This record gives sequence, structure tokens and C-alpha cells, in this order.
Amino acid sequence: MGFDSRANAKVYTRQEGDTLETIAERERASGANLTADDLARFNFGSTDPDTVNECLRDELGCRKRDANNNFVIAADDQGRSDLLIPLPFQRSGLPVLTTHTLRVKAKTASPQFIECCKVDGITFEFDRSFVRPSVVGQLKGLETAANKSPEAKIMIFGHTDKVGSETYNKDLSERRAKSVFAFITDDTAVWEDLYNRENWGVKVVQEILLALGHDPGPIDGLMGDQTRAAMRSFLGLPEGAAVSNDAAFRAKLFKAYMTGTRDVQLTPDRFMAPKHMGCGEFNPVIDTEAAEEQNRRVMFYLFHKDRLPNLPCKAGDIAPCKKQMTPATPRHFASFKCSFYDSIAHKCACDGPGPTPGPAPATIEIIDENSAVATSVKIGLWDRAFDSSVVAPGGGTATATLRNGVNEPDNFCGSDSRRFHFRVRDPSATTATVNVQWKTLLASRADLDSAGNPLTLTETAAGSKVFVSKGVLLTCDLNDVKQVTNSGLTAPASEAGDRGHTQSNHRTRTGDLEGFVKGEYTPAGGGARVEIELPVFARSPDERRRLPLQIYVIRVANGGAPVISTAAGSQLFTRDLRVIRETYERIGLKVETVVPTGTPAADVHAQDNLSVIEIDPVGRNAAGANVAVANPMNVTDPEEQNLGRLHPMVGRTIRIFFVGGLASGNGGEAAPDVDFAGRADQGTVFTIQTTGPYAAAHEAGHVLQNKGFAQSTGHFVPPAAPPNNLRLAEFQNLLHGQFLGGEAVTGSKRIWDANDSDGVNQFARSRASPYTRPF
Amino acid sequence: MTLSTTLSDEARGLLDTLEHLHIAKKQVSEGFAEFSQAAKDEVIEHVARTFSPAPAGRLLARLMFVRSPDSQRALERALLANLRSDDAEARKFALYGLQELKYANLEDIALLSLRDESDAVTAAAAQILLPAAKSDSDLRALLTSFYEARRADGSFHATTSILSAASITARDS
Repeated sequence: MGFDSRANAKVYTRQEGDTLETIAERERASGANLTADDLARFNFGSTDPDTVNECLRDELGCRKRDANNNFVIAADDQGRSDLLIPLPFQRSGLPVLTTHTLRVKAKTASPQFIECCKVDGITFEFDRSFVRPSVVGQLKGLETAANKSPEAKIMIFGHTDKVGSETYNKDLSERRAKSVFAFITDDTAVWEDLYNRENWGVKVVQEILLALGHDPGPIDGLMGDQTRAAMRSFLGLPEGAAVSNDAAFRAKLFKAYMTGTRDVQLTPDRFMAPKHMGCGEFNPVIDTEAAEEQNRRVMFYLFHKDRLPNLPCKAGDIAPCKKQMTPATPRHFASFKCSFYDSIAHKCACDGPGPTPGPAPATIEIIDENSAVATSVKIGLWDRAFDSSVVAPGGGTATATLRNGVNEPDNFCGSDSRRFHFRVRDPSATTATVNVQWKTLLASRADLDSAGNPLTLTETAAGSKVFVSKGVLLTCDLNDVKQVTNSGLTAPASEAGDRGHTQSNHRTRTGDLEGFVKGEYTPAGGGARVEIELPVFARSPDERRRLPLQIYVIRVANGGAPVISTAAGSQLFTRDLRVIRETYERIGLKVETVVPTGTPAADVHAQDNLSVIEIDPVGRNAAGANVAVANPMNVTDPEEQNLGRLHPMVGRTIRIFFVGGLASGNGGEAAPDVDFAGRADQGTVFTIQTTGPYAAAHEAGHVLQNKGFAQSTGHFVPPAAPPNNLRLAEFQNLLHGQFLGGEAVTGSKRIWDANDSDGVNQFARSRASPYTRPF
Repeated sequence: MTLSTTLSDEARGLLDTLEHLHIAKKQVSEGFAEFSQAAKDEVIEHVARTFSPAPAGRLLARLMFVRSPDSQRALERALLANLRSDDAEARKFALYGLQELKYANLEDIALLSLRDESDAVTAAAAQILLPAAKSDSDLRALLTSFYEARRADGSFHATTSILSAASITARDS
């Protein structure tokens, strides 16, 4: 004999503020023998409080909570089923004097939440949904979890930070969830759509090519020769074959990226419906308005197939989101505004308080200029360091004042685009400031620069327990690191004002291109010491590049002495080559030297892993005959070509010739591709030591940036107006037309990551130069 | 600041170009072809007539690329007038310029320049004197004396290297 629960029950009519307890109480007042547990067991198959809450949410559509975080009923809730109130069992017409056995099959609910996985925000570029190569490990975790629980269905939630409008972020979060789903299910068409909608551009193509083992050169978004070569390599085409970044190419590229070693073996039927949803900015992990990377994330929830949650969400519409936000409290996780999401996330250890939240330990992070959590740091560019208020006769900025004020925007450390900050979260802290020890390390992890500790971090808001340091910088220049820095602290702090390099709250450290920066925090309350260590420039993919140079010093006569000393400890090594190395290390280029095969060992002189080659004053003319350089102290243009011909470049390598003088009257000369293509001196630099410490680096800059007489104005032209930075003082730039003078903080040695008036971004152009190599 | 207040527009433009700290070497090698020879001659004569401000060394160097037979004498005067310039580069290029012009009394001038405090100038002087020193024992002795006096001074590296390469070294070595 069957039993129809609806036939033996009445449908509950929703009343504002009801709970199972109040409903049962009313029924008891009417004579029924009913408890809240009876209602829960009858309707949901469980009396477990969590399961009851889930069912109230999913079946009845509840969103409001009481003070104990239990759902309560609202009159306008819209669920997928009604609550039934069982009636006393009655059956008429049964024979008498017979025993009847009534078997009741209890309804048993399975646990809804099975597992969760997270794709961290670092895998998403700001305002993009492209899934970076580093996501692979995290998605493999999803695959493992899903395989472990075949009864599970997967749901994807995308999240953004709060930069941008709510509507925009809702769309962006949906795109991110959709992008990840497409990655998992190898749906290249979705990615092609996103590529066009979000203008992923060449940079994404380069990232994928690199991830697939085809080196496109710098990840700079520029379709250069190296990128085309990588595309040909990917397609298996010969050198010189035409390639185009069109939809057909990208379909192959995306497919290769989604499959192969990155393949995630999950089919669409492993996902619930809907398969993915975006929460926009409404459920941040960190409640901040800033571009916080931790808030940019994609979450995977594995739910039991028989207990799937009932999403109130709607793609492209924030109205249902808003409805879930009223009333605003309470929540399991205070920053989660959506009642629904908060209730499913509260069992998730990676995106919520987790099942058994304990006292949080202290944490330490390094954050960048946008307050995003950094995974690497860079050398400071000093790009907002100078006041361009002193105008030279004839125009241009002759000198500049270094901005070293107490306020961050007025301080060269606090305003640098490559600055970083230490951030500590310590729930046990009881003071308004905490201290961090920080230092730089060599590649071997040995200390490089540990002077000037500690650094003071100030609480961001009273009681927040979050502490952030003033902006600090890495330098790679003997003069820069000696610069005193304003601590940024104000009286009555004892360390207010200027601090020297060996004093606490000095804000620069010498960084090494192959090294690391490290911060250490020990909670005053006795908790465990925490550390953060990040590489100088990202390592995967490697942001660093190599800059090989062939360096020659001409002799006064055949077999004679060189025009300048090449001895170890000479100015050539201690100043000129050091300045070249420091100049390009700032932008992530490691200067190396190349000695062509067959060079006599006696001609090679080295110090600090940099080699120079002495050469006789002999070149080779266009007819192939060796000809003398008439006067190595006064070298002419045809002789430069002859020298270039006799000493060809090894690969694409800049050749630097130190000579005694130039007949042109110039202090140095360069032959960038734009003006000298096809000439024997293409890619050469001719420089004179007496011109000054920045001469050789300056001329090499012409070749790297391809700034010649015919293009890009030759020398530096500062940005004309905002939005570019007015503090890019002319004289401090490496490519300034007048680079004379001794070494100084205000010297002509800076390369800035900003578009000049001629449209050249020196930072990007140098790093993307074909004269550089992958690290 | 330019030297001129009375130049034609074209000559003024050329002078401005020649005075730039850094000019494209292609422009030099092509002899500033965008300017007329008349303007070039005018600039050389103007420099030859002007005492103050003194021309920079780079200007004297570049005058060599715009000269003509008609401006030869003016160019000589301009170079001679700057052999005692405050600018070492000007003194150096004055010597090299006169050497290129095959100035008659160049060795006498080079002797005067041996006491210059700039390595670049003494190097130029030594280069000018070395051919004659092969047959002039007094001159060779003088250069040897120079070498002995300067060999321990690293700031005369180029000159002592040039002398050494010509086998003019210390008598005790």
C-alpha cells in the first residue's frame, strides 16, 4: 500500500519570521502533536541543523537569518517546493479484527557539501578572464576531488575585486567562471569569444606560447620577430614562413593549451546546472575597495547530486544578488554580502571561515603599488622621484630636486611605480604599529643587504589588526642606495625625518637580479614568526632578460697599449662597465659579455664576470681587405664601419668599442637598426671614457631602444602632460641629449615605464629589443 | 648660445646644428649635405672672426666636414685661435684640424702643446711629433723625458701608451 505524503499533509502558508519551531508551536496549539524535528524529518529527511538550514535555503528559498545564523521564513521567499505539515494518520475502510502493519520509509538526506577547490586571484590579470599557466596545479586538484567523489556535481563561482561598477564586475566574474569552465572542457570557441570581448591581445598569445615551450621573447604584447618565430615553432613551420594571429591560429593554440600536459579530465556532465555563475564583487575575501588580488578568484564547490543547492542567482542580473543582501547581517563570513553564498561557503575552508575556524595566526605579505598581493618585486625606477622645476638654458630640465617628503606622493620611494609595501595581519597585536625586519638576498640566499632594520608598519585603521609599511624600493646602484630616505613617519615617532642607509626605517635595499627580498615578522604576543620571500623579478614565466655585449678597447697602435686601461680595478671595470650593468639591471636585463670564438686569451681582460677585448687599430674595408684605423684617438665614420666589419656581432649582440676620440666631435655614437640597417656598424656603439660615466650605457640605449636620428626623436622627450607623469624630469633620463656629468642620484641614468611624447616606452622597448635574450 | 648675430638664416641653422652636443654620425659623414657650400664657408669665416664666446671642441671638429678650398685660410685661423682655449676638446681638435690641413708650422705648435694638462691634447701633440722624432734625436729625447715624467701618472695613459708603442720609453727601462 502506497503512502502519499502530500495526501497526508497540508501545505504551509508562509508567514514572515516563521521558523520550524514557531510553525510546530502553532500546530500544537491547534491540537497536533508536532515538533520542529518532526517537520524537519518529514520534509527534509534530517534534523541536522546544517542540513535543515540548507533545505530552508534551497527548498523554501529562505535568505533571512536570525541571530543564530539560522534561516527564517519571509513572506516573499520563493523556493522550489513548499513546506508540508503532516496530518494525523488516518485510513478508513480497513478490515477489522486484523492486524495491519504500516511501514514508513524514512527520508534520509545526504550531506550537501562534499568538497571545495579554489583558483587563486593571481591566475587572473586585472580585468581579464584569461586563465594563466599557473592555474594548472589548482585545476588538477579539482580533478582529483571530483574523481574521489563520483556522486558529486561541480559548481563554479567567479568573483572579482571592487574596482569597477557592480554590474561590470558581475559580468566579469561570470566571464571568469565561464573561462575556467571552457578551459576544463576544452571549449576553444568560448575563449575566442572572450579573446575578442576582453581584448586579450598578443600578450595572451605570448603567455601561452611560452607555456607550451615556444619562447616568444618578452611578454610585452607586441607582435615582434621573436613572437612570430615562436608561432612558427608552435605550428611546426620553417623559418620565414608567414604566420598570423588569427582565429584559426588561436583555435589551435587554445586547444593545445587546454589539452596536453594541462588537460583537466572532467566532462560537462560532471557539473550541475547552472555550471557556472558570477558573484561579482559582492563576496570579497578582503573587504577593500582596492584592486585586491585575493578577491579575484574562482571557486569550485562539489555538492551531492541529490542535494544540489537551489541558486537564486541570474546571469547578467544583479537584482537577485541585491535581494540576497537584505538584511545585511548576520553572516558566517562578515565580508560576504550575499546570504546564499555565505551559507554555502561557510563549510569551505578555502573561501570562508571553514568548519572549525580557530584563532588566526599572523601573516605577512608583500603588496604592490596597487595594494595587490605581489608574487615578485622589481627594482625601483625612480619615475616619480624628481621635480622638473629647474629649466636649463635653451629648454629642458638641467637639474632636479629629489622628492623626499614625508607624505607618500611627495616621496621618491612612496610614489615609485615599482615600490612595494609589507603588510602584516596580526589578530593578536595590541599596538598601533608593528615592526618587520627586511633584507635582500643573493641567489644563494646569503644576505646581500640587511642594513637599516627594522621597518615600522602602521595599522591601517584602529582595531583592524592590519599593518602596512610605507613604500620601499630596491636599488641596484651604488649611488642610489646611499640616498637618505624620509621614513614617512611623523612626530612623535622618534624616527620621523631622514634616515640613513644603516638606520632603521631607511627605505631602500640593494637588490640583485638573481636574488630575493625577504621580510620577517615576529608577533609581540608570542606567536610564531612569519616570513615572506619573493624573487626580484618574476621567475615563472621569467621576466628577466639577458643583455649580451661584445666589448672592445682599441689600442693606440698594433700590439700597443689600449687607449684606456683594461687592468683589473681600472675605471673601465669599476665605473664604466658597472654603470652599464646597473643601468640595465633596473629594468630586469642582466648584462653579460661575449667573447667571440678564436679571440686570443691574451687580448681578453675580465673582472666581475665581465670581459673586454683589446683590439689593434685595424678594420676591414668593404672589399674585404684589412685597413688601419689612422688614428685610434680620432676615429672616423668609415673607420667605425671597418671596425664593425672586422669584429662582427655574435648573434644579435651590441658591440661597444671604447676608442680614444671621435672625429665627429661627438662624445659617443651609436648605430641603431633604424638608421644603420645593413651597414657593417649596425648595432655598434663607439664611446669615449672621458665623456662620462653614463656615455656607454647611453649609447647602448640608442641601439636597444632603436632610437636614431630618423626615428623616435633620437633622444628622450618627456611626456607632454598628464595622464603621463610630470615628474619624469628630462635630465635624469638615460637618453637625455646632454648626459655629461659625474655619477649622482640625479644623473642621466633612468629608464622609465611610460610613453614619452614620441610614443616610445623606454622600459618596454629596451626589454623587447632583439638584442636581448630569454633568461 | 650661438656665435652669430649677423649670419644668414641658413648659416645660422648650420651653426646651430654644428654646435649640438650630439649629432647623427650619418649627417657628419654626408658632410651636412642639406646645407649650401656658401653657408658652410660663411660659418667658418664667422668662427674665425669671433673671439668670444669660444667655440666648443665639437664645433671645431665639425668645421672640418664643411670646409672648402675657399674657406681653408679662415679655418686655419679659427683653429690657431683656439689652441689655447679653455676647452681641452677644442685644443685637441685644433691640433688634429691643423694636422689635417697640413699646416706648415704644426710641429712647433705641437711642442707648445706638450705641456698641456689634458691627455687628449698631449696625445695629439705626441702623434704629430713622432714622425719627426724618428730622425731628430733632440725631439726624441724630449719625448722620452715627457714619458718619464708622466708614466706614473695614470691620467696621461693615452699619451704614454702612444709613446711607448713608438718605442719611446724610459731610459732606464
